[in-house]
Amino acid sequence: MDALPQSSTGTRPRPYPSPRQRSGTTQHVRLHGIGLEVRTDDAEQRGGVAEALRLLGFAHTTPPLEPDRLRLQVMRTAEPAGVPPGAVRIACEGDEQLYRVPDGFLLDTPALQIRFQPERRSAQLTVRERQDLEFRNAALFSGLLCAVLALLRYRRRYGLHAACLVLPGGSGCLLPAPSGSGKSTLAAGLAHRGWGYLSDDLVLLSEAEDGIRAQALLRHFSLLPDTAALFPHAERHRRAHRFGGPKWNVDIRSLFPAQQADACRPRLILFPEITGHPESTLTPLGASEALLRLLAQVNVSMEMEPEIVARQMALCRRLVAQCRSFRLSSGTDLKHEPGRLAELLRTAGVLPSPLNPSRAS
Amino acid sequence: MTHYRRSDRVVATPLNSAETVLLHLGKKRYFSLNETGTLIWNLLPQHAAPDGLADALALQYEITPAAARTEVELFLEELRERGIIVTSEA
Repeated sequence: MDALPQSSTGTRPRPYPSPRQRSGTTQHVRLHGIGLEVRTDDAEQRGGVAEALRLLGFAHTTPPLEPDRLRLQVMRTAEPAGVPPGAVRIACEGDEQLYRVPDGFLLDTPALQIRFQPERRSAQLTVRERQDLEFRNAALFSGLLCAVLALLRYRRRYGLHAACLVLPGGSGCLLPAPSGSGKSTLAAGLAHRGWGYLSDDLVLLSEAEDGIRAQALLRHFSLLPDTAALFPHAERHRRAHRFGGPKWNVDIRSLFPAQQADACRPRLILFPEITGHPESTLTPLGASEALLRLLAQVNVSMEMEPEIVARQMALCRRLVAQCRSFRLSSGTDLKHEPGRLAELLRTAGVLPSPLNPSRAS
Repeated sequence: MTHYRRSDRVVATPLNSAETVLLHLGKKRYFSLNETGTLIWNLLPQHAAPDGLADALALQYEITPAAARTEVELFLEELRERGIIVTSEA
């Protein structure tokens, strides 16, 4: 561990605009029954925060929230926020540093800082003011997502980087994979075939009486323009937002109405990998490899509270135990017609075939 | 004599009786242990020295103590290099 030298900038973030210009506001939102109080410094930022929360799936609710609600404060700063005296660096990855501070943890990056106070179930996100609006918005969204995922762990909800569909029989299908593996394309293709859907990118895992459950997060789908062109009318359901990049933000609920689900119990895990081969294939995975692949997509704040990390790992182990797992080598056939994944699953005997119901898994 | 103990920066979850998955919090790396590795990992809290681990391994797999000792030392060294266990001199 590296003890930090006392820094001349080791003070609280300097507010921007000045305190006199600020008009702080509080929003009360809820997701899957979990209350979150969000305070913002000024009106302009309030709009960005509200939009980000809406994209994540939070809905506004009438106060008061429960006393043990999660709390998030969002601020802006014109100056480098600095690190408080006494902070001890416990992890470093690229230009991201994680510190232990007297009341919790501090994540410090060039674009933002997040201070976590576990005992208070609260976090303060400070976004550094930049001229580049796109950069600033990206920092706000990624910071808010990071803070929210960390806070939700205190309600035993754990983020997983995965698309999630609902099979025709009602059980869930997870597609955990890094960005660029085709999760959104496959999810949209299966939704186009009538499958239910939770998300194309991020879900929350939690324990329920009947096993591990997945809950929806990030309800809109992000599709590259070429991919969106595969689905009729997708452009009509494109929704602009301030965090948009090269991908289209498609309101999947209006594109494929009545197929949205809030939660499911996964029974199938597909780990997609893009290949240049013409045909896609499925390869069964053992529990050990499936678990390692799954853990690689789990949102883990590594150095913060090992007992929470241990719970996440145990939860993933139980998830693997309740699912069949496959590596999906995704070829050009699925690139051009992603909905064909349903046929591939039936041919491989993973899904029940309409011609042979006895093969139901 | 060199003693070994699990690093407090490693979180373990047993996959089944024969496999264990380890996560090194600092390195952000996952490791998978096979049946023999799982046995040694589970015995580490009770046997900090290679001799005790080798005796247990020899008993379990009906191999000679010398062969068990070689297996144990190689495995412990690999774990130490990866920061999964730490050593101390007793």
